[in-house]
Amino acid sequence: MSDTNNQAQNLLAELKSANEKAKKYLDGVDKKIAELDIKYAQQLVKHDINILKAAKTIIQSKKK
Amino acid sequence: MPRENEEPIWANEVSSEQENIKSPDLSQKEWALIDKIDFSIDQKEELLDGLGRIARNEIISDPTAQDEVNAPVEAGKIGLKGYDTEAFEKAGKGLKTWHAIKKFSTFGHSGSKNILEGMGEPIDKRKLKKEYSGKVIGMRLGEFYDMAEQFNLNPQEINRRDYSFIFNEQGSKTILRKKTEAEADETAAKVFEDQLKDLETRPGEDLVKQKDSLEEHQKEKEKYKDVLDEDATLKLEEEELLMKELIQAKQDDLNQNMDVIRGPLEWRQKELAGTLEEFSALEKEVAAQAKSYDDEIKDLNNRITKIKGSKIIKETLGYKIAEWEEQKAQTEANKKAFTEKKQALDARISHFKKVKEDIDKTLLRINNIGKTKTELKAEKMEKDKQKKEGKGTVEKSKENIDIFEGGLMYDSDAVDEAETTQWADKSGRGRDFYKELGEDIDEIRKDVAQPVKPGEWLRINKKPAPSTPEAAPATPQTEAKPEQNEKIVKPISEWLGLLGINTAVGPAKEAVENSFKTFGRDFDSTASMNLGQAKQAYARYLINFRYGGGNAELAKAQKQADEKFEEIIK
Repeated sequence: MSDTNNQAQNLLAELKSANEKAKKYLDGVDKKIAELDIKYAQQLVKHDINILKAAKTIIQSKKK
Repeated sequence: MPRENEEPIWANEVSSEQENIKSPDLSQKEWALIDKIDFSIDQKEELLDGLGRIARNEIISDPTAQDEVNAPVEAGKIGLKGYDTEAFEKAGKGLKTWHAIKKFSTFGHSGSKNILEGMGEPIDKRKLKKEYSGKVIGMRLGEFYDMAEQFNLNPQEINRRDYSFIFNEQGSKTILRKKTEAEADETAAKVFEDQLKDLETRPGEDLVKQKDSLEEHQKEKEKYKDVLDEDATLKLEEEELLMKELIQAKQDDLNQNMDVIRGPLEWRQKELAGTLEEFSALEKEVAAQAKSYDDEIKDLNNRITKIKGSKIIKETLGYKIAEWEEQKAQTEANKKAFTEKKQALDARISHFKKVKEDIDKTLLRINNIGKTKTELKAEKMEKDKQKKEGKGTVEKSKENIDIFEGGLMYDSDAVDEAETTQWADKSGRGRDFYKELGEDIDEIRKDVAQPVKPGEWLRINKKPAPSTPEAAPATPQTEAKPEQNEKIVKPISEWLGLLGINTAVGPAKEAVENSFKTFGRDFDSTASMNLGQAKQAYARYLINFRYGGGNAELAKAQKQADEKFEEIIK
């Protein structure tokens, strides 16, 4: 009975460890998705800014 | 192209994130505002990177087309109210009398339908003041609420600035509503489609006709070359050179127009390729972790069964039973979370793929503009050949094929370090990712291929050989074979070195730079030219520099160029 008890305790510890590891990883995934979303959004915004800069350059070059 | 019934890709997380951050500290009004912002973000995110949005933000520059994209839409018609009287002429005596009679006879229930009684004198609804005709007018608060009520809209959910109206001649008002982001994108996509069709049908078809004429001319010249005297041959050559010049000028114009479209699309295509790579890599990683976790749990379950089942576990754990139950619940929660993450990533990946597919197709269309059937057929054959031979797949081939597209030469198969790095971004997976994508790697690569670096050319494209040796045209002493013209490709700097004009200064340098241009581009000594092009460029250089820019010496220049290249090729 004590063997079974030990085994059960060990299994619980293992389950707990696996769950903690998975949860930590999942939290990290949330972060990564958010980071990639932001990075992509920044690309779009950056591009818009580049377009504005290009437009400004064109206008400035016409002024000269 | 905006798609109908497309699933909003971030909707699932917006709700769960909201759940997490909602706090009792915020008022109902504040939450309503947040919901409104979320709705707006969802709507924008869904189409932020679609073809319509790219066209709207980066391609359509013509003010008339921009007006069309931004023009408000008709939301419906409403009748006039007392506050509209200032826009109409006062009613004449006759109408007022008729109105009074009608009112009297209906015991005040109704008067003339053409009269509107407001704060001042009655007005004639049929007589709109000239200054109000076609004028777009912003809404006053009162009429905004009236309009919302009539159209069954909640004024709290709409913005007064998004609405305006114009008066109609027949005593009513047409309500105009600002286009939603999706509607504006959709219009932009239509306008862009029209622009593309216009390029395809006008300059594109014109260029094809010119190229066909040149081909016909060359065939005729070849056919009668034995019976023509030297003068006639020279004249024909002069004519041919002029035709080539004209084609190049038209190609330059077309390229200029196409570059305006191609630039932003290629940019976005590359960005999307990078984004797709990163999301796909993460999706794979999550899938692998989910599997590993599942296996771990399965293994634990097996071991539980081995020690006589979970009932025993519960009995033996005693006071720790609550912890056991908690961990079991956590396992289920983790499994669910893994599924959700995978779904979230899948949604993004399929969205990006759809957008990229639209861009790929559009770029392919652009690349085909102005190409003759022969050119397109040759390209198709080349592509088929690549597929057949296993080239053109992601398996790296040692041989590189050049493609003459839109006037620029691209090495469709060579991936240099810079490109790999650029595409791989920080993940460092680069080409492997495209191996996994498989089916569209060739299109992606061809469409966004970089101008080839010096010394990287090795063209294996072969033109069909003449059917019989007898029928094959005798190669003129100074004329390179047609396949040679295309087969031998070098960077411009190398051609200039061979011609001995790489160190030209002053007007000679200017002539070099004006003559040795790849279509539609500024002079770039690292760009590549094939033999035929280099020969033409050298002839232009001779005309510009040696013969004072006149066309009278065209034939002479061409002959001189042929002779020079004959020496070089040896």
